[in-house]
Amino acid sequence: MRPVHGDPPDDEQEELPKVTVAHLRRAATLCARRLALEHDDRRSMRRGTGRFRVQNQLLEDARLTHVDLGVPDAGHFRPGDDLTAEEGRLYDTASRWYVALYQDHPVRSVDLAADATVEAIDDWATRVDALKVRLVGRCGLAVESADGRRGVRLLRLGRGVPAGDMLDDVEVRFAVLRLSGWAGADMHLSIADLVHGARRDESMEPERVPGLQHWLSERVDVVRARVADPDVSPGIDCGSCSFVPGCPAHK
Amino acid sequence: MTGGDIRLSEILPLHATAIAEWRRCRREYRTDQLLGVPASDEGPSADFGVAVHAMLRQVHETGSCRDAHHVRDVLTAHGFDGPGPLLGYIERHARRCPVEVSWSAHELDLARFHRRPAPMFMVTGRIDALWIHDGIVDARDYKTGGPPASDEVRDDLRARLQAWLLAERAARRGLRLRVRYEYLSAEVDDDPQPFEPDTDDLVAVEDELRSVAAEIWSEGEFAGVAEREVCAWCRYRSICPQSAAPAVPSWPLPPDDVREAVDD
Repeated sequence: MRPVHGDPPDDEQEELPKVTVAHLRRAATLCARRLALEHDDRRSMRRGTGRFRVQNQLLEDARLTHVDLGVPDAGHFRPGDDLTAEEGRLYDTASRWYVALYQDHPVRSVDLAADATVEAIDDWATRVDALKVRLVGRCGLAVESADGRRGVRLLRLGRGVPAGDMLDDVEVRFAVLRLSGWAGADMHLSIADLVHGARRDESMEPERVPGLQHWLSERVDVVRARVADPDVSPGIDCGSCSFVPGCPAHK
Repeated sequence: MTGGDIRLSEILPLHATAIAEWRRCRREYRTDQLLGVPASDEGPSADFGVAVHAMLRQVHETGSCRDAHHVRDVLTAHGFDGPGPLLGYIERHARRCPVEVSWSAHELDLARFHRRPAPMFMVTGRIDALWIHDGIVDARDYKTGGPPASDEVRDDLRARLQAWLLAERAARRGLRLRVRYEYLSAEVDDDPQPFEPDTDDLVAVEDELRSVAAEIWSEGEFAGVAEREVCAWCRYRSICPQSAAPAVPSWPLPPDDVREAVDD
């Protein structure tokens, strides 16, 4: 199975600094030491693995159901034996909603790593040479319609779908920035909340891409300014930090 | 479905909600804290309490809670006009708010790491309000619900955890530590006795936290408590196979024709 959330595989470690969706969202408030170490892609302490199990399996099964062009097949969605009963119920609900919400839109899933036309983009990361960073992290399911149009499906377990401008959502911005080099500036965006049964679609307006790239540049500047002075700021985030060993706040 | 192996973080994160869940029902702890499953059922609403905490912070950060005009301005600016219940909560706080303070903070996030003896854990928590006055670090936890379960703050896990989080900082400054609960509802007349931990108390709290962490590390089964009075409030009561209070999930269902196709 491909890495979906969690640590990237060793063979994908590269030299360019890493920027994640969490960095874009919280660069100004995240502990600067943690930000610096994550940005530098330092080897980190082991973290729990449980929180993305359903999301990971669902994404993989959605990918498989669209190996051939078509709508999702309910028979392709079965919860794995390693899930708890509660996770199984969540998986059942989410997969049923996926089948229901996407019955009208046949697509083929795309393996970005196998697409030789986009050397800078794979399922895990996108290299942004202009800014000398990598955008790192999965961003939904890359798909292609029968007419060749490309897009992304962001599958959420709760949290709803954006009500206003979809690009106000940092996760959507991240997906556009990650995949527009592959999908084209008019990529199709689709977000679904598979717990509450909501879906929203929109076509990306090509003239908005430069604005997003400018925003990314500004956010990367914030990250760089923070990591240049990596002071510690202990707080709630320490509970999910992978760099506690050596932290001056926790001697 | 078994649950398989769930890998824990090398440094176990602990906070008051996680420990309360662990003690209430290990299955609930696993589903929420380790697996992050979204709630399938409604729990008690926290909306009003959140609003009270946010307004108390705003009032103190921009002025004084004793300045009636300022309080009304803040409430009005946030859509809480008139003599509503929120104003009463702030007025009842103001009677207990320290006057001469050398330092204060609101909604202060803290973390403290425990390395040895094993297991390692990281405790995090939020202090609603903190004042330094008269040689005391005066930590307050605002309570907006019903009356206290005990006459002593020290009987509550959250207070012990807050004390442990603050103790080193207070000691470094040569200050005494006091954790106090402020009951702001009009129905509660008296606050419980504040907790002023001594060295032995703090050692006991650390032992308590370490034993919780050790229990979590050694747990394999995560069995549900299956008691009706506990399950009835659980946010997973409709999807937990051991629930003693079966319910229908609040998650909506897809249209019938799709459900039938999936079931086939």
